[in-house]
Amino acid sequence: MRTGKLLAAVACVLLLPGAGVLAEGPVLTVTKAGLGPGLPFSLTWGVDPVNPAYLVYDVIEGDLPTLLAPPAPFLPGDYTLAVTACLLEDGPLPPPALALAPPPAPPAVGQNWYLVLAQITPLACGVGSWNEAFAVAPFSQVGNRDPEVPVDPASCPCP
Amino acid sequence: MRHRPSVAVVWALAAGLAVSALVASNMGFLVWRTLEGPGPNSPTGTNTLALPYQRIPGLNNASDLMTDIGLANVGNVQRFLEATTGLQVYTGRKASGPDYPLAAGECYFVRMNATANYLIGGSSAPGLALSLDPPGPGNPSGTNFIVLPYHRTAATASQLMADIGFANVVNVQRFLAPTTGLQVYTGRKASGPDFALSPTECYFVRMSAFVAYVPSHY
Repeated sequence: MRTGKLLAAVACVLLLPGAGVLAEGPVLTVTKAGLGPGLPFSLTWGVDPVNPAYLVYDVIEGDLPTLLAPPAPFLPGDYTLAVTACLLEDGPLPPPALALAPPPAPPAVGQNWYLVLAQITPLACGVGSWNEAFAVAPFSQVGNRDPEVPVDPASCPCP
Repeated sequence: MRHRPSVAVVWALAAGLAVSALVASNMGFLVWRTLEGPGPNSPTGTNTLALPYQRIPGLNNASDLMTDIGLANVGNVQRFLEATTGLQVYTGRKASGPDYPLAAGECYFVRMNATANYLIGGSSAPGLALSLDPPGPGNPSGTNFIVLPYHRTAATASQLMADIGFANVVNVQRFLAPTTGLQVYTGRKASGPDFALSPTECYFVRMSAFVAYVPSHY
């Protein structure tokens, strides 16, 4: 495992010409198989327009109420506790679309969010960004998601 | 709450990226909403419904929204008409008014025949600016019925006023289903109490000056 981590770190420093460049983020679309109750949802995304060579993708799922109102001492908008699952680790550009399991139905009233991140290689170790705001005017994202999204040290950057 | 817009600017400058008008997001949502039919919680079965700025493909008109929720459960879908402060009603049935297109950032009243749980899907559009109009020929009352992003930073009416620019906002109002009335918060002397905002509900914002409002979000 230590060797794997070392290789990943070396790759981050040496192999990535875009290292250190923050990505705009690939454009994400939530799709439904028609209109009507009970039909399945899926997720697709496009190439990151700022980094078109970033073609390896991670997708995470999170809990919206926890993002908006986390327990103390975390502040609203902190992603640290709000990430609940890694849905895709080092996946390709769709198709195929990524099927989404519906959140818990009422009375639980599940409210999920999804984020996609583009990397240049599976060993990119967070060179891409979970942020979205860099090419949007005027800026409307508050806070930096990247240091808050948990990282699995053996399988970066999905939790 | 963390209001750190300057951080985003610093990142952009550090990254050397040009600012563009791209309207897109890498964040999506699947969110349940219970739409109340006639009963103790909502005598008329009327609910406000905030859809994501980028809806699922195919959800384009009021008729599509009724189909998606389940036509049998929905009495009608209404949109607020700023010019008359009236409502345009689409029932999807005989003698209905005309169907109309749904628009990003526009809120709808959904009148239910029976309570139904609706799973809403969509994604964000962080560059979308809401045109918040003051009193004028196209909007005599200066009232705007708006949708906020699900991951907006404003958690209360007072925070929404601050995010828009307090001096430009007369009040923020929310629809009260149990009474079909409106709760008003002005943030000024003799105001009613502040209230919490909910992701899938919408709010009336009465303006005193025009603002192209891009809601802050996490």
